[in-house]
Amino acid sequence: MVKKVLAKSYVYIILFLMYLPVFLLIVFSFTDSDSVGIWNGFTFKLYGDLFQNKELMQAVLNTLLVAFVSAIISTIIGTLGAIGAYYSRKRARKFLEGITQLPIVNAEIVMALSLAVLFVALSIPFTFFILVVGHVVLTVAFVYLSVKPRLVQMDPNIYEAALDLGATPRNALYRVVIPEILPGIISGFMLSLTLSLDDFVITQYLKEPSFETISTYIQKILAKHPVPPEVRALTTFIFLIAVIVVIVNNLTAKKKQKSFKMQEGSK
Amino acid sequence: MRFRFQRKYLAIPYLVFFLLFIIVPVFLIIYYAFTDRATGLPSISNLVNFFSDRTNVDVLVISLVFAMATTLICLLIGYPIAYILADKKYNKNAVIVTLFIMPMWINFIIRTGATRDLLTWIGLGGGTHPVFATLVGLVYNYLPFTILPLYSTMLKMDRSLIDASYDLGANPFQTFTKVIIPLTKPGIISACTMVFMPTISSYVISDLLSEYNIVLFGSYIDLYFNQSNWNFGSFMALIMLLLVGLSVLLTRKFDKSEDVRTSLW
Amino acid sequence: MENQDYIIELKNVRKKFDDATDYVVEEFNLKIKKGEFVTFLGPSGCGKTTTLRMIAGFDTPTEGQILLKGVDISSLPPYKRPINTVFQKYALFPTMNVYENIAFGLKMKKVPVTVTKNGKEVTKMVHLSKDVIQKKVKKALEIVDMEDFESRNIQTLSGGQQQRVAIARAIVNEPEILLLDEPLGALDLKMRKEMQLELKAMHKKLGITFIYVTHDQEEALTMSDTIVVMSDGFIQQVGKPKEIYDEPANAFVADFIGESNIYTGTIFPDHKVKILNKLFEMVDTFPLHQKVDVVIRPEDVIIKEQDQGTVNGKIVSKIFKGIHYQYVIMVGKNEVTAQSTESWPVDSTVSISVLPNNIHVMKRNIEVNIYDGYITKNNKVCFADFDWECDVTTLAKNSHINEEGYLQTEDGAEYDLSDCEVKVYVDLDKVIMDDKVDECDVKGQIIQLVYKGDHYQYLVRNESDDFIVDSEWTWNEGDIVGIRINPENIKLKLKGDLKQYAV
Repeated sequence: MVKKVLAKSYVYIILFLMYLPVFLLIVFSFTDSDSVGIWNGFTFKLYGDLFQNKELMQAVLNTLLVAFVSAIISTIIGTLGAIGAYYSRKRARKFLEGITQLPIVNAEIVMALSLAVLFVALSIPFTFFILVVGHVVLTVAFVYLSVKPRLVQMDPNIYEAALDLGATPRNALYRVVIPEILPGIISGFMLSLTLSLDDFVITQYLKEPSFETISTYIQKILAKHPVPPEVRALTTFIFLIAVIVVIVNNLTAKKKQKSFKMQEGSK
Repeated sequence: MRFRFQRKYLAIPYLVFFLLFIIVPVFLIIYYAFTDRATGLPSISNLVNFFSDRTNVDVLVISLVFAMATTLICLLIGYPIAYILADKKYNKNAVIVTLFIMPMWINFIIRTGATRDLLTWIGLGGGTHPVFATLVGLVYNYLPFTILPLYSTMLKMDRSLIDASYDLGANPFQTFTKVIIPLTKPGIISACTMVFMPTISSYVISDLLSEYNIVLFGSYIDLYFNQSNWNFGSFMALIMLLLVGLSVLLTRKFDKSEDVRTSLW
Repeated sequence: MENQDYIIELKNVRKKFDDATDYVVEEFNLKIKKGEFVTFLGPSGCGKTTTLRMIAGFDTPTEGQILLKGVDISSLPPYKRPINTVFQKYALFPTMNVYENIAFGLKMKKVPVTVTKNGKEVTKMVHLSKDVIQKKVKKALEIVDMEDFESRNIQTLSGGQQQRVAIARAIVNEPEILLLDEPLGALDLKMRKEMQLELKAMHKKLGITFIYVTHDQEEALTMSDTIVVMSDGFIQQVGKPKEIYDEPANAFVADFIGESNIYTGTIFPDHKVKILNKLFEMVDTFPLHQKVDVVIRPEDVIIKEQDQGTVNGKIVSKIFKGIHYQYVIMVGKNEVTAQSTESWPVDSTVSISVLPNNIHVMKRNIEVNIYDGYITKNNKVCFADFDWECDVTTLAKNSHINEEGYLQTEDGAEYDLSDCEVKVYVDLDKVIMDDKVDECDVKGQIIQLVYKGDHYQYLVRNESDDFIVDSEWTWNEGDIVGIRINPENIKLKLKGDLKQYAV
């Protein structure tokens, strides 16, 4: 019993410490002060300021734009890559698996600067497109890795069964294989989105000077100042979205389990 | 002959993308690393320069020490947490595991900034305690990456082996060192790789938290590139790359588990 | 046209997979009549599933032709063949419900429809209408007895129900041939028996050709019109179930189908064969003194009081099997399995006899291992990818190896034997299998085994050659064994004249 209490309190203390910095930002988002630690009375002023701060709003928009565009491209290339690799000969597959590990184990700064060197060497200007390429480099391997286990779990005969029943290879892929691996594709997309939203290093190296994302915009300020007050308000929103995503995720997972159990029971 | 569609052709865009934007750039780095900046001719001047300047080597060594310390602290904090979370006796709720991952969904720069502001507020900021602040920042950032692989290995661990160990007369300490640690080795190794390499190359955390008092290898590479000294920067990136390759080789034997970042979703 | 009688014909079909050196299916020739129920029977890895996959179109033959009603379809993709498959593990689409699974093939199909357009008759290819699909699916569900399951999720069905859906999904397309790849393998025994009868009834009702793959001989005997027994890529025998059971073509078939006693015997005059150290009468005619395989079914062994039959033996075990007892009787060193409704005590000495027409005598496949080899520089012999120690002096009378390593005969002539081609003979019982695999230079895998009363006969394969081994020791199919042959047991015979190797 004592052991249990000890164990639980340990977990909760660490958890508390992990959330402490973020919670501080959220708490101090309801007061108008230059930095955390100074309480100037309760107010929603910072939330108004947040939407007035054009630069920050633009950065939020840019971040979302880069993340969604690169996540879509990553998901397409990564999923096709995983399907193609799955149906390749062993040697080709091993090769693809090998190079897939590269961006995963490689240090982000090495990838970022090697890409920067490449584009400068080819005198390609740093545009939005180049930034998206950088983000795809960062995320595409993770899509591959999310899709691959679904393919491996899939009954290899279902593709053949579709052909057997008269579907052309394209039809079989589209109607049978893709639906089967869809959960992997979705989680690959979400993962890609998350990594991209969070990214700093690649963005820093590959963006046009005038183009800012949340990460680069705040990092620039942090060099000389504390976390800007409006960002505290922004953190509240980000945190809320994260909480909603987690809840929805958990609920759908539970629902799936439940409906499955119900059908099992009706047998 | 008419082109006949085969499913393996679907991997072509993936392959081309990798060749163009991941493999070619790596070779470019190697090329620049062994090219002299002034003459543009092949040379080992960068290598000579790097090892002849004491500061460079020091930065590398300090980075390695920081990485080791971070890894060790993460393991010490994370291992018990993973063990408790994976044990049904203590924890029946999988949501708590999600709670450990959730901070990762808050923007990394905001999180790091918040940590710095907090430390400054309580008087432990990078200006006065650079080493402490940097370590806190690194551990804070990488702790979830330690807990996840450990947790997933421990979930898969057959708990009856622990009972068997007790049954055969081992005390809790012996059971821990002889049974539990070996069983969770894949998780430990995967956790180490998830923390060690990124720590050496990370420069944002150390820059922000130590208020530029501590320079890790990542910041050093960044510095040279910002000064447009590509050749020297490339050489250091190459060292980084070799370290990565080495750690992959070391862990390959043990580690078959998937990258933990995929378990975010 | 002669071909009209046969719906499908396989002509000299051989199949080798991309990276492999061995053929999985060899010299496969078979004609199947319309409406027949044909079973490919054989142990795992015998090539039966590969053959089925070639008929379905998932694999293409390396050589040979597959003719459907006389037309070569060898390279036609599966979706263009009027053939449907019931897969081993069903391969139902998990993302679709029962109805959608069954309707899948119908939705893919396009049928020609003649419409009048601007006063002209035009043939258009159109998808089937929803009504038609629904009717067909309903009917298919009726056939498999699953009427109320239309909207059920696949994962919620039991194995037997999934099986039925898989069958419905195939037959709804009204294929010319239905292929079934061990469809009952995943079901429990009772379910399997039930489905066997149902499948047979379905075959009768639908009137389409069934090609069924199984390793279960009982299943094959129960259901088929024709059985194709396969082993090691080759067809061993094709025939009606009764023919295969009563007149197995060789020891392998006899061993695989039903229980049998298999012995190596020698032919004696007056239609007699010597097995169990006694002469038994037989009906077949074979050349005198030939070594043969003799097969006796346990139910054909007649047990009598001591000295009343052909040969005496001692009962060593007795098991009650419901309607009869199964005995193992030791006759000398040989085991005889017998079935009888009479009860005889264990340890008692009895006599056995067999009616002449129940003694199945067949030509022995192989009596000695024969290889093509050559002599290496250091007077070893190379075959089966290895240089074996051997005695090359057996190639010439009274010869020896001199200091230069040449073969020297009595008259002083020297011969350089390196690279000289030889035939190598090794008796079946002189090949030694060793379980210390790592200590042996030659390794192989046991592909096949047959019990022959007092010993087993194994087929051991390594990368380049096969070894037929007689051994008293028990091994399992698939075991990896080391192979040794003592030098004195390697018999050599020159292919050419010794003179051409003179120094």
